[in-house]
Amino acid sequence: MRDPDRLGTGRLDGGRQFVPVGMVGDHQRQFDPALLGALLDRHPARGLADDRVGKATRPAVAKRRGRGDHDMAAKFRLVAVQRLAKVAKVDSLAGVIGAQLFLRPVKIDRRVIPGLADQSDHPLRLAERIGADDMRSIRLRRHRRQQPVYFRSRVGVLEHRKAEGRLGDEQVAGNKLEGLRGAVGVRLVVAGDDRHLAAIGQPDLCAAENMPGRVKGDRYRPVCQRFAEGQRLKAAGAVRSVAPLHDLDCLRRRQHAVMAGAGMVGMAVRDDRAFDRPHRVDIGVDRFYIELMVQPLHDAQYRQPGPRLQSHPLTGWLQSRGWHWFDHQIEAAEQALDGRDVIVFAPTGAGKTLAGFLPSFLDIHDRGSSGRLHTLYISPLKALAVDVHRNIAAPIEALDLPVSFETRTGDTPSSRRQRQKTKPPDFLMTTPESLALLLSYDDAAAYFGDLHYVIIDELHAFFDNKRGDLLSLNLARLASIAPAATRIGLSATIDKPDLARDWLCRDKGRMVRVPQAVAPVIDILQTENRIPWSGHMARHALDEVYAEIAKARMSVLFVNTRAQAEFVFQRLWQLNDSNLRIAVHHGSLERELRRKVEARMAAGGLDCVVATSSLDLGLDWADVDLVIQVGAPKGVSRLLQRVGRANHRLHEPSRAILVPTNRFEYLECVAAQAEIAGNRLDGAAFRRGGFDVLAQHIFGVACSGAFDASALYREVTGAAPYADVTRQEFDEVLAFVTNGGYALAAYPQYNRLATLKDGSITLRESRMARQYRMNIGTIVESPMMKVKLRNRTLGSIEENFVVNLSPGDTFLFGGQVLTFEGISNAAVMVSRAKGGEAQIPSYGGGRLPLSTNLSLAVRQLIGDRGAWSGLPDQIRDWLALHGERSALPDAKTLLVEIFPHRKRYHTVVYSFAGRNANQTLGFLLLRRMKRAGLRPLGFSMTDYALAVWSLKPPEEVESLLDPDIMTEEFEEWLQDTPLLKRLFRDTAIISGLVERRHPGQVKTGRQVLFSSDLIYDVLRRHEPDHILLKAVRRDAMQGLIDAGRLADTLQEIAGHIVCRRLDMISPMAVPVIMQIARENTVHSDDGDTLLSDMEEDIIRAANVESIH
Amino acid sequence: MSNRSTEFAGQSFELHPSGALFWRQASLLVLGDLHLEKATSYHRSGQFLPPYDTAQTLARLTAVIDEMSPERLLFLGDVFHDGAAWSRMTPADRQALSGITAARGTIWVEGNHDQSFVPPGHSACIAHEEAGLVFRHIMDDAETRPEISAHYHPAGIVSHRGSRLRRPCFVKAGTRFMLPAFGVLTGGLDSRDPALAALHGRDTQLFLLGEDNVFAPPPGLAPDPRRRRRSG
Repeated sequence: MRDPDRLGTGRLDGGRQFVPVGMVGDHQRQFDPALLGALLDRHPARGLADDRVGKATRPAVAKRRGRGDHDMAAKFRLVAVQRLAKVAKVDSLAGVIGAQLFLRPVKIDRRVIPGLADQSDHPLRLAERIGADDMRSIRLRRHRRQQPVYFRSRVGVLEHRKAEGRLGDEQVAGNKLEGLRGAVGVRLVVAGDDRHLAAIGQPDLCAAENMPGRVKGDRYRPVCQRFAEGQRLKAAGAVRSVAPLHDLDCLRRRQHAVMAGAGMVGMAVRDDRAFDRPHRVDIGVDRFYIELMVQPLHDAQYRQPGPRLQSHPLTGWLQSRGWHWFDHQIEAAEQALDGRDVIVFAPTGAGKTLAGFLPSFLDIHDRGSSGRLHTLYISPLKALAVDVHRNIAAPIEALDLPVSFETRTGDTPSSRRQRQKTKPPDFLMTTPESLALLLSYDDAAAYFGDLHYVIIDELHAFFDNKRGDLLSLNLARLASIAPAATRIGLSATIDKPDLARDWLCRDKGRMVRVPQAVAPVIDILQTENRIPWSGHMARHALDEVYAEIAKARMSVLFVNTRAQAEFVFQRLWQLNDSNLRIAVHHGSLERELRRKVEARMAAGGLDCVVATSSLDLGLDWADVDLVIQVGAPKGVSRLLQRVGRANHRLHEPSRAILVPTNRFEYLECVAAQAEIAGNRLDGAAFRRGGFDVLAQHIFGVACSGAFDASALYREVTGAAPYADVTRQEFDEVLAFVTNGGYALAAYPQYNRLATLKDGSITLRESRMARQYRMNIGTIVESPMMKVKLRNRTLGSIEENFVVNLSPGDTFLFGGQVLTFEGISNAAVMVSRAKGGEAQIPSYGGGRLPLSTNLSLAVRQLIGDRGAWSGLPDQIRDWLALHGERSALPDAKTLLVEIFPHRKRYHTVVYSFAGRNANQTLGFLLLRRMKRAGLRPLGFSMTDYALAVWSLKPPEEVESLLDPDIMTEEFEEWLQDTPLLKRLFRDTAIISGLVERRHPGQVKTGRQVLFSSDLIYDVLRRHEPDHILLKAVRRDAMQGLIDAGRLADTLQEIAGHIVCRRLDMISPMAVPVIMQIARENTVHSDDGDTLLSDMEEDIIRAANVESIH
Repeated sequence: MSNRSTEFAGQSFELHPSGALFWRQASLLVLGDLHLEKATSYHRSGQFLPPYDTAQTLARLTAVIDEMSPERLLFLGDVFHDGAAWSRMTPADRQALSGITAARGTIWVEGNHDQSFVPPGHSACIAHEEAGLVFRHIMDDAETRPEISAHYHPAGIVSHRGSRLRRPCFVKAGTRFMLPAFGVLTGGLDSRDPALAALHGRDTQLFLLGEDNVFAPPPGLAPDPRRRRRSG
């Protein structure tokens, strides 16, 4: 970091000479009195002769639209301004003095040059990148247009306005409010951030591209609002301050307020009136942003670090910034230094990352860099790896520690990869896939041989998916190569700690927990409107949602599906009278677009982001103060994870609003609230690792050199997800990797693996390693097609959606209405549409089934009339109505309804078993009812219920739902369900049966899909016990088919079935019956039914014609 | 199982759900691409597809022959996925194929994949003519006589009640008749693809293969409007 003294801070003296003020971020020094003088200087409008006020115009920021009286935030500010009018004058001073009292070093930003008020005046650039010399040269070049910047106090804004003589008090107050939003003015910003790492990482957060000057139509944006808590301030309460608000209009007039960021206090403002007469700058300080915030200290958070830690330069560095080691950081470091695997469970903002790296810092400090890889950091997201890279860069650079650190992801240029191979850094930040790649090189043993620590961030993201399987296997591999390497897991959610320990730790792992200091505040949106009985788009609530967004500083609006994201985003923009900056973020959007949104979030350049789970994981940079969850949360832990996106400060509560989209979801939200209050978390269940991932891994191991099968088997079973794998299963997977493992004799000349004389196994030809490396990974995309607007790629949509489009059809994507033009070169060509009704692409996946805990809580709520008192009238009425018409499902009984509807009999089973289990039950019931001659036609399901419709009503419900359905029908169904076929595609790709990429050729999604279906059929017929079919069943049982949960549910309800025969559809059945209309899927297993139906239609049509 | 009959060039043909075409009057069973040993052809590149496709295709062929009892067979080319396929076949599969072809007169039309390979003792022709009909592997744009071909593995896509289904199909259009692939491990080409422009017309009739039946959607086939022809 640069010497702060070199920053050209200063003020103008009376002779308009620039004199340095000095006082720059250097806490050794005293506060320069000159600064105070500058701050207390009079308003320019009343000061220098050539600064006369020009013709007063309407305030530049005055358009007051949209935010009406309901806007509590506005009211609040208004009241406050009036109330505090008396002290207003001394506010700035008070803040500064306050800072001074707390011995808070204060840093003054330098001047901003008129006309250059853009990227270069980013405060962080000013503070750190551009030295005084650079500034001077800029000044010389732009001499003619320069206006020096004054430090001005807030004095007299009100008076100034009044002086115009045309504004009444009320308007003045109003203008003042708007001024708050748009004014260019002096801002006092107390430096820092309470988060060690956030502060460290900040320099790049507000990247230049996010300057509002670059964004057309951006108005009223709080460009960067950052809370600040300094160390010593914190010790006695803290000063909180916020950077100024920003206005593009001002920017266009070359009036520009510098944004504040971490590490600065005070800032500059300039006045353009001298040469830009028709405009006026309103200078003001919103006293609101300077307020003392007294917070009780958690004394227990601080304890004396041991001597080793105490003597480390980092400790000095932290202390120089007024920070302490947290307890958990010290504890985790001690455990890890003793060689024990450790997991740190800590809420975001608690310095987790530093806790993870601390042992490495200490160890390398003692030992010195060996020139080999010392610490491996693995995160589930590339972006997170990059983020953490920035975060640890700060102390390393500040202290000039002799530690090298680099990031390696799929995006790393090959030249750097090459260098990383020959000259490894001490710390390497990477992803599971890149780790697998590194481990596949023949020098992996040497490369990782001296590894001391492995840090796994966002540990919880690895428990229930195949990426976790892959990582787990690679950790086992690392443990063989470098047995001494200690594992450190970092996790924000504390659900299922035992699972986490089993997954990560060898022997006795230790867990360090930091409880969330403050419970999150979670509300359910109270709406005046009618909450619909079914539906998922929250149409009814979006007005109110918009109002909440307008009140918040920055909100993230989470939805459950991409389709919801598109719809909600579109609607919000239709409502957006206040021109809030709302963006959308979901996995189908092009990566560049997503990065842009993230960067703007980081810079505070957005008011709201509509996001899917693509933003679930811990990017901690954005200053989000409100999370809105539209749609049911589906799981308590997941909800907490999302809520945690709001507010990364340790001692402040996260705030969230739940927006149920229908009445069932309302119940689910209430239940989730209660579960969180009772601290009952659900979490990922233990997952048995996929054989397909194991196959990929074995191939990878072979690429790195010869191996012994028995040793590898032992190693593999050391990975928690594979602990139950038998030697026979392992051998089958190994045989698959070797030559496909078919009973039919194969052609040894094509084998991938060969056995050497000593019995060890190796790659038959080393060139095959390339094939492996091109196909690493466990994430298989469903066939997607790129969406192209002229030459620009907007993202991808599912091929299945595209095939139903005809040219001219419009659809919503990325918040735009697009017209489908055609397909060209395997891309979807679109143009912008004028608007109007557009389809919403559907995306497979993205829908998580309702968790078991939550499902039980919902049933308990329904069953307990006493608990209804907290529910809104309309929900209560709905429940009561259902109870009257039918019966209420509760925690102990299972309700089944049978009623005629549209000439069919509907059997609705309120299983609350989640959509996957319900789907399986649907298929099984179809079979059983067919056998009983009830002529079932199809079924539909939600998380709560399943509806099967048939031509005849079932007579006896108990026998239909007898648990023996899981043995009789289940086995039969499993043999030929298309569900397994769908899963087989992933298995085929991950296991390497079908390659995603082959040197020199790229397969499109459809080819893979089509051929994998055929392969599945052939395999099932000729070798039904093949390891890949076992792999598919193993996966399906715990996910898509959810057999365990279904069996549990059926066992539980046996003998507790309440059957109601009704004349008509019941209130609670509406959502699941509506589903029929919405999802045009044929649920009978074969397409032939559809085809004969089609022919019948043709014949019927022909007959009709012949009659006429 | 029920076959569907259709008239083509004044002759009556039976369409079998397996994709075989039976010309009862001539007692000739016509078969599209078999692509035997397709799976094992991928083994060379390290993709170990299950090597059972040949056996399954031959079993399917045997079943059709048993059902139709044709006196003669006509392979429309690409019986083998590549020139070396025969050598990779298991002895049992080889024997099965030899048995099938030895028991009745077999006409081999050359394909593009099989590299003109025919099993020992047989010979292949470029095209076969009979009763005014021409049988060849790849449809010839210049052909004016009624022509029966294969090669493209046509697949029909129908939408009905909001669902969409894709199945291998026969295509009948004017003087052209095209067979679907007969092999079990063969993909398909959308019959609306520009490559099949010669088959697009108002009277084009598709016959989609179901499990036990052959289905005929309403006639007419237009090129896929969504797919632009690439310029040049």
